[in-house]
Amino acid sequence: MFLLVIILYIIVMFFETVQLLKKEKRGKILFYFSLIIFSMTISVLLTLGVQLPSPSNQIKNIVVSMFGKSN
Amino acid sequence: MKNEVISERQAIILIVLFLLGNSLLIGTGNQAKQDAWIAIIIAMPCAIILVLMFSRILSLYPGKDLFDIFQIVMGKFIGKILSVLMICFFFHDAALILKIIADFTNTIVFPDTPVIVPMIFFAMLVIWSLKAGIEVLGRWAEFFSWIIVSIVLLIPLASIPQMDISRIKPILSNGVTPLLKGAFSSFTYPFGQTIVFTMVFSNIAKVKNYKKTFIVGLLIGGGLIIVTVLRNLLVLGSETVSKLYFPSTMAVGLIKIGFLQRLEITVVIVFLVCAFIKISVLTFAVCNGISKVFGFDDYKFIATPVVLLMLNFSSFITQSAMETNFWITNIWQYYSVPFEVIIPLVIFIVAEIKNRRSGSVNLS
Repeated sequence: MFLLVIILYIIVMFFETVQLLKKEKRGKILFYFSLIIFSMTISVLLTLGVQLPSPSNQIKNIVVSMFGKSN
Repeated sequence: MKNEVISERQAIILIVLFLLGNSLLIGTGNQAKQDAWIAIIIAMPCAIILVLMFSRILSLYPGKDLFDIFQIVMGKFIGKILSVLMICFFFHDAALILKIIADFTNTIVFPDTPVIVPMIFFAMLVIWSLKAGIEVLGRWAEFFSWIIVSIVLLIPLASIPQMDISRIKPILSNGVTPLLKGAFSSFTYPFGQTIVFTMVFSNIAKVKNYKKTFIVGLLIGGGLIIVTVLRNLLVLGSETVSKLYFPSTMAVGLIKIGFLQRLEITVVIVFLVCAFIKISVLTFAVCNGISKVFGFDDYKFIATPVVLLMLNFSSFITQSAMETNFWITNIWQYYSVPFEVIIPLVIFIVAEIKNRRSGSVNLS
């Protein structure tokens, strides 16, 4: 199942890099690749069922400790 | 963002549809129980003051959006840190809205389809709208605005037979505190979110009309939200509204006039169009911010990774519809105050001081 995700990402990367390589600078290509590989890692981890920590839990703890669970 | 121009009318329509975002579906100011409509009426003047501050900041530095203003006013390092904070805030916001769309689609529209399938199509549309540019989005919004506004105004007329004025009485029976809490909640979400337009509007045809664009958009959007919330309260009553995740769906589902039954499809259409615009505008701001922070001149190439990352985040940002509802009613209002009110206030004060100082230097 996660192979399907990786294959889809590689297809997307292929389409976009063909366009990027024609005219853009190295900085953009590097940045693009780093972001999309980060996104691919998270996708594969989600497909494998790993429980990723959500930032909203930390924010919830901070706000609830300051204001209480009213409303 | 440099060569794209949207007309003032398209800007107003974008603001209206952005405000209608998910407030039509979920409703705002729910802490005030049956006085939610009064809470929104109270929140609107406060939002107008906030928006006047935004337009003043923009008019002090014409042609520049908020990310540039951060770096001009506070210096490069602090400006970049503030930009990163705002980017994370909008990213979180867009991921939360994607989560609400996923919940809605999974609960009401396509209950048996794995939720990733419609979300991938939605994400592809958002990527397409980003690569097309904000001009195309403005024209698209203008095309759809007539349908949306007419639906939002006509459907409540069809539910007049089910309305019962005693459901919103007694007025102010819960006291003023829930009313103020509801007004505060409705002030930060959705009205305070118009700060995202300061990062998107760097090129309107007539620059001096920022104030009019914001205020007219806010009044129309707020008016439509008041109509919808009032209809929900009159048809369902405040206790049912507080129990449901999507009160508009049930309120519209009760309509039965001859052959006009089960009109929930209108709710789905309105919600999807408005949520699409909301996510597109938020993603514009995120991509624009990322390209400004890292010094690129183009924001379109980063669209695909950002949207895919948002889609991934939306899967685990909250675990269930209950948690999303808890977030929106309890936490969102306090969490967004630093980003929507405090940071612009600081920028406003510093920019005004700099303006006075350079103005007096020029005169002498």
